[in-house]
Amino acid sequence: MSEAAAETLVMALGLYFLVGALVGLAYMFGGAGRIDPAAKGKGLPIRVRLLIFPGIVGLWPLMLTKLFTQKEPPVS
Amino acid sequence: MSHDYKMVQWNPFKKRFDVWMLSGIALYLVAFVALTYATQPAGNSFTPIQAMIRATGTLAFLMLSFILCIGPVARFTHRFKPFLYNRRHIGVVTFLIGLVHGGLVLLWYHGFSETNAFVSLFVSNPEYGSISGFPFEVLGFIALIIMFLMAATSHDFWNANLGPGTWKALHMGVYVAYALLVAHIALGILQFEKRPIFFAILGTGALFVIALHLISSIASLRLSDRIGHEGWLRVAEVHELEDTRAKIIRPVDGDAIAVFRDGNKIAAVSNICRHQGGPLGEGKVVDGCITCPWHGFQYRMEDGQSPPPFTEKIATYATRIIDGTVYVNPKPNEPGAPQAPSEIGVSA
Repeated sequence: MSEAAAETLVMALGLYFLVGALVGLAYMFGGAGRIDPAAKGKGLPIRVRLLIFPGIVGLWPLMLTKLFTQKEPPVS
Repeated sequence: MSHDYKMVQWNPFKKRFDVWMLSGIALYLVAFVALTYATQPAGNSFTPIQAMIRATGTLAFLMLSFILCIGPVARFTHRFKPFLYNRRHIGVVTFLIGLVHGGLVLLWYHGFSETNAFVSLFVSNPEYGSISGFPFEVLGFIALIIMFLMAATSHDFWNANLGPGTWKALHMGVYVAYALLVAHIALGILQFEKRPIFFAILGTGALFVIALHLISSIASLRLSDRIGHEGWLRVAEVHELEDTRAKIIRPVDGDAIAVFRDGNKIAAVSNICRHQGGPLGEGKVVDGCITCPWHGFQYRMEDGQSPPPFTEKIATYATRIIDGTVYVNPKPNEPGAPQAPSEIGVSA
């Protein structure tokens, strides 16, 4: 891998996680309760919000979609 | 279950388990570093960071191998159920150890140049066409990303909001991560380290994982080969069913069925827990409720419903006993539908 390609890849990863952090913040401050009634208010204590933050950073495209489409957890 | 989310669902048993696990990890790291110094070849002089890189790397691989062995072994012996019950904790700790390993590698081998450490990781060895010189660190990096996604989505919030199917599919990525780690070790340290301990760790870990999965799969296939009685599937003789435990039946069509005995009652439910798809048939009956071995979710034997205030439901199945043999109807009832258990000593 060339240095230019590696720099592009690392920058893309950094950008991905930066956007993920923003989506994660949106989830921590109300977003989680929007897709899951059980996660509203005290249903999702601050320690749990911190715990789910990294996952939202990693899966933000999926979680951003859910933020606008999901009203309650999926039934399987 | 439908309740407020908790950070970690600790109970006294899980706390004791975690203390033992962390103690074992500390002991391994100290012993590994001490042995590294005691057995280093003449002329070599490892730094403490290099020793810790090896200690954390081998430990993460061994722990991941162990995690992958828990499921198959727990199907054959109840002694492994405590590990099954605590597998999530072991998994998260394994990722954290892998993260320490990766962090130390970045710091020690890529952190002292003007090039960005992550860029250096990808370009320091460009020989992708070589075996002995393959940039094995990249494989470990990808494996660590996969393990991160699994650890970061291990909380119940994720299972509820991704849905059990998507959640389980994501977590099956552990097999991809494991294959990448095998390649990471084989193309990495085994290319320049001649001491047998590293061959032994890789060989033992991979051999156990592959062999146990094969044995477990063959045993499952044998379970599906059951002679029926008027379309019902034979489960076992009554005396073969252990009290508070289950036998798992796998119909040719349809989901696996867990047939439980609790005293003189026999009842059958879906083998799949609604929480994270855990194997209910590997759990046991506690206070009249079928209890999942993974995270302790419970369902009543007579209707497959979680006791109030919880609302989860699983499918029930009809059972009957004829001449001391237990049979199950492979056609499921609706989740949560009442189904009276068969009673031993009462003919169908």
